[in-house]
Amino acid sequence: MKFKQRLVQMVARPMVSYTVLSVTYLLLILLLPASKDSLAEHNFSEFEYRIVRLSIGIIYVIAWFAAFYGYKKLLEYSQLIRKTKEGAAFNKLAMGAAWLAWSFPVALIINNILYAISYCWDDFKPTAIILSNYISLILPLIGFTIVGSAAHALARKNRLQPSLRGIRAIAVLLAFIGAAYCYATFTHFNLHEVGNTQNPYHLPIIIMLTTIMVPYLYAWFAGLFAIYEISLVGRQASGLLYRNALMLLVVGLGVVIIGSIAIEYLFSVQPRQGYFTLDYRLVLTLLFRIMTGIGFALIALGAIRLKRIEEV
Amino acid sequence: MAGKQGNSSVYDQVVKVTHVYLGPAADRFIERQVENHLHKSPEQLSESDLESLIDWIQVVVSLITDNNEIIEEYTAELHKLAGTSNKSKATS
Repeated sequence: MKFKQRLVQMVARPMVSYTVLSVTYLLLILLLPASKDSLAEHNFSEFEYRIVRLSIGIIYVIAWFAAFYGYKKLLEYSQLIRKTKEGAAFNKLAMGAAWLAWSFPVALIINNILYAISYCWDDFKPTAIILSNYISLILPLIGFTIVGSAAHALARKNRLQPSLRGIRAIAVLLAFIGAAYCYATFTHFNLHEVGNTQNPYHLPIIIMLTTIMVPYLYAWFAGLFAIYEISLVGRQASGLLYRNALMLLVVGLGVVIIGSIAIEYLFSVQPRQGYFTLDYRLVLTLLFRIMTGIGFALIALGAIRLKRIEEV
Repeated sequence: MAGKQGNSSVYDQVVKVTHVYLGPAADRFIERQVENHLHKSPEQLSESDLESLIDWIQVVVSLITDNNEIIEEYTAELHKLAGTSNKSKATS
């Protein structure tokens, strides 16, 4: 019970949590041992390695600021309307946004620690990669599920039903994404040896399929369906000023979900190496992180406007 | 919600107009304006309060949006309501 209360307090104080997480992450960059593979691959000195990582880390920290500020504002708005018929759904939406916001720094901090252990102890590298794959899956999976049920609750409160056309469009989109994802992932496996763990994921294919790929496909479905349902709510909402503010929130949420899916997709299709590399994947990750940051900024803007309607 | 009880037709009409701009927040918004600025409960809102309420709404809505067109359109709708109310008052 105490742990749960503490957790709720932490979530309810986004900017304090943000500061703690950001400082921890930046300190870890400076303090954790550098990867020998990284230094060798890019001919970096240890100083150069840390400066490059710190520069990228600062961009992440700025994107996290938008994320924590965005869910803070959404949480404040949901508190203001908690007694209305939409209050519970907005509160759930804020919780989902909070999970997504927390998932970025928490996953990165844990992964950095795991990789640092593997730099000192080679045998730990497969475990580090397996754990980092699961951590990167679980946190957004919970976030997408909560956002999905909040979007569904809002749609139901407004008596909105997803159309058959809309559901089919999501099914087709997911079929394409899923097929491409499975194809790209399977190229890393020896399909003739089902139990073989000699692959970049360090998992037998059947475990990879059931515990990583299927949950990812479910998470992406939940995310895409949430975008669809919440956009229905946004488009059908009555009240010109209310709808404009709500649409900012809806678009922001859509951008956050698409950005998160893109990052997950990237790391699933191109497996983690367990050390820092300057390649196209890093550039894409940065772009998608900035994209999610912009999405959260839109959420904040929408929530601020909605809040103002309730306060004046 | 309070406006739905008792002699509340003026309140309901104001909420109906406001709903076009503020959607589900309309009822709460008008209730707040009546209570905070006119120091009345929504049930006590009468036609004679409308002009003063519209003035307050104009000030408050300008805090929500910079779009003058929307503010003017909204207050014009409320003024129409006040006009209708005044006419009906004169007739009765």
